[in-house]
Amino acid sequence: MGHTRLGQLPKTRKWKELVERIAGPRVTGDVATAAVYIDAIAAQTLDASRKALDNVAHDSGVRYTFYLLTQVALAARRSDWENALEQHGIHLASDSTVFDLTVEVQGAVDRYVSRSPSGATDLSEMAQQSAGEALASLAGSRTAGLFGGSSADVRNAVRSLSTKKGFGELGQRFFGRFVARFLNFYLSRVTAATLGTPRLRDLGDIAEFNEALRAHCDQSARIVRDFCGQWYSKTAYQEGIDLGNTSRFLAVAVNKLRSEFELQGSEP
Amino acid sequence: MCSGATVAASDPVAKGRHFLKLDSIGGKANVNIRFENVAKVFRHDLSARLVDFLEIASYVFSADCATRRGADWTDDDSTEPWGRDFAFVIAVREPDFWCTPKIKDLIEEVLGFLSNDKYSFTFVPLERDRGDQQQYLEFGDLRDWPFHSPERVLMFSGGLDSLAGAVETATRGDRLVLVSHRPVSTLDSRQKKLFNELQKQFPDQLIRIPVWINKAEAFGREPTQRTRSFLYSALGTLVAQSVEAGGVRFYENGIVSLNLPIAEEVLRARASRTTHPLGLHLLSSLCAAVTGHDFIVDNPYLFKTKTEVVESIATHEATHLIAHTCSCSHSMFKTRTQRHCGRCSQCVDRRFATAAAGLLTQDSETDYVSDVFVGARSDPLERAIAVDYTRHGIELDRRSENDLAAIFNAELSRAVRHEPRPSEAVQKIISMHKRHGEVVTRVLAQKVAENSAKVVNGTLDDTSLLALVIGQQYLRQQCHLATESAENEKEKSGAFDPARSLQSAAMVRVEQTLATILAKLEGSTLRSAKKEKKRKPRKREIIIFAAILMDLKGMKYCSFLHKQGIKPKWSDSVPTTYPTGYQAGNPWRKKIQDEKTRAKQRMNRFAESELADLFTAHLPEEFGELTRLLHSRNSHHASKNPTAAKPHKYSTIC
Repeated sequence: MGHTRLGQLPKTRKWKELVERIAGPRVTGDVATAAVYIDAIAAQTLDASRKALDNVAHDSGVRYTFYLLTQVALAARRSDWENALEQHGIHLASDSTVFDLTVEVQGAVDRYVSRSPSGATDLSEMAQQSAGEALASLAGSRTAGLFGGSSADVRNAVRSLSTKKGFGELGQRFFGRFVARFLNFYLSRVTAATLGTPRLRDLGDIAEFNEALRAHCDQSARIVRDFCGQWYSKTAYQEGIDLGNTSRFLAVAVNKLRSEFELQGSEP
Repeated sequence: MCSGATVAASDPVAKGRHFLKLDSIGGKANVNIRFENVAKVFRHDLSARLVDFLEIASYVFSADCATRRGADWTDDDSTEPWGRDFAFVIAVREPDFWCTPKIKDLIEEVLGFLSNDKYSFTFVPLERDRGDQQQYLEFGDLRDWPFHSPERVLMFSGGLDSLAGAVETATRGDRLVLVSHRPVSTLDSRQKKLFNELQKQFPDQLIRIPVWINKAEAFGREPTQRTRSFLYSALGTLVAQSVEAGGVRFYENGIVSLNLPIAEEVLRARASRTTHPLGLHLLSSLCAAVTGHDFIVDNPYLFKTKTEVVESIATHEATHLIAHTCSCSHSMFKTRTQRHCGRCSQCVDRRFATAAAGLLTQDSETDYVSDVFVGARSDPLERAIAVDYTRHGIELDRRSENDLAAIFNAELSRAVRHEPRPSEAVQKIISMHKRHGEVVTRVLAQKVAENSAKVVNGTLDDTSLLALVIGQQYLRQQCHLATESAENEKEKSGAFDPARSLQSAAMVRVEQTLATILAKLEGSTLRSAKKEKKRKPRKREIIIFAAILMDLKGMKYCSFLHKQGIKPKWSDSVPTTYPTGYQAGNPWRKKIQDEKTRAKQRMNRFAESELADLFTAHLPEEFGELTRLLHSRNSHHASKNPTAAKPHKYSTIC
């Protein structure tokens, strides 16, 4: 029991080139670690996995996960926020914590994707992980912690994420984590298997690489921060947020992110 | 199509599918189910529904094992093939029960969670039953039997965790009914030997029910086998119902039970969910529906680490049994003298745990084909398992509780979804993971210290766990440089002892390297380094800063950049200037706006004096105006009336 299945990347030219870039030249002596080339590596990975990222806006799990984030934020604006959450199958007790809220959100997404024709996908799982991380880290930092407080404290914390600026921050965190997980879905196959090569000499180099990737993705996701906040604010006010306009928003946001990574990757 | 069920080629369920005929009944059976022993032991027939359940589980497991998960991932633009789509048509004895929507939904839900595959089931009446059903005779009253109505029957795999559970239960004086799955004879003989040893310690307290289930060798072999706990639960339910037990019990440490992803590529059921709390909850619901009464499938070791499980064996004075257990994932392991490959994740986990518990002598290294810490790993995936396991463990140790709850939020949420107080349960789970992480870190440091001389001399295999983690190849070069320098210094002073000097300098170097690696895994070194780093803006950025400061928009903004000799950086060759790009409309306008947004965010990181210096160098003519704007920057922003702003249209404004 307790099996873990690791996989390999496709044996195509683009992926082989990526592996070569991470492993580094076959020489001894001082060579910069892979973390130094994170901008270029991230751009190259996005290029190789272009079609997979294109599926984001069409993936029902990703779409519903982001839609639910908007609904949780909007519910916090209402005085009967527990009732508002009930409409999405999220049940909170008076002593619920931020972590309890994330448990309920994850449950709601799981139920939705299990009923959808396509079911859960790798992308929907990444979105769930990222939404949970974004909500837990931002709401958790605005309360006594993830595991303390009451439903009212949780509401206050989430309400601060329900403004244009607040949701922009939530969106940036979501997209930053999502794209980092997306990239590392591919890259983690390379880093572990090429440990011992000039650019990944020891375990610390992999940790440094992962941290650099995370930071790079968080920074790059700033490009969608204002956009997120503006879309959320305007759409909620004008027409109401639904799955259709969420899908269109995701398509644009992903394009913005992709352009940003390409730009960062092309800079000398 | 199972148990002789047929389906017309025109049936929608058959469209576009690869056909597989599975049969466990009759002379041409290709799925071998031998549960006669169960009936023999308990001396009465098994209910038709339970036999159906076991057959359904056996067919699902056989199809799972026979169908590859699409190993050929050749299209560089597609996602990794992982999930499969199964449609079962199964002949059963109680079709009315199995066709109930609630039952079908439950089976599909539990299997979907365990394996990430899609399932649909069509149940039809069975036309020919197995002949051996009526061969058993009723003897006496089962209630007089000493093994009657235990709390649970125990699933006994022959590994450390199930041994610890059995020992713990038997020590309490309880009687135990152990259920084993026998896929191959080698595994069976090991389980039998362990059981015999266990019986010596607890005579008259144990009974073992082995059940043979395997498929014909002609079928393909998919190693992931994610539906095995579905099969085990069916087996356990069959026995539990026979002895009137309250349910089925798995003993599995919490780390493996939750099986948090050790790397980002390990999404969903790529990390097996055999005894995952949510999986066991769903199985409990299904088994209760099948038996028609309350039925629990549980795991009492949910909050224990592997090391704590091993320590429990020691506490109950059963360490001599450790040598008879087998944890290796390679169930088809051929060697008769050794039980562990030393390279799979289970072997790595076992060795770390026995080392941490100080029980390495009971878990002899001769039982491992390759040493977990210093043995060679020729396969890249075997190297990746060792590397990811170690890195994941250290990160669990180094990260805060809140960080872990956020990073693994989806997985942890599922684990505590049915707990009455999720926050409390998850804190216990996180605490357990931190204890596990501490064990990994401690054992690694201990093994590095033990082998530091070999690391320095370069005598460890470069593909071994320790050599990879510590970076032996590169450390060796650094150590030689360090010791040469030390030799030179001491030779000059006349106090040179070559052997001791080399050794001590090397040890220090290895210790320092490990400390640096651990610090990097904590992320602290990188974060502090990042704080210090603030790249000096390039000329193009400074010009854009100036344009933003001057509140230039649209064509004015583009013309200013063009006048200053700044060209767009987009990769396409046309349009070549900002004004022509702006005139051409989207997507160029959007690109210009995005660049401006980024620059605005970056500009905010610089102090007024820093920006003034930059403008002096690059825009001497506009310096006066820019300085004035810089001074009024804060008040300018504050005085802007937000209500006057027009609705933002992301794609056209710049």
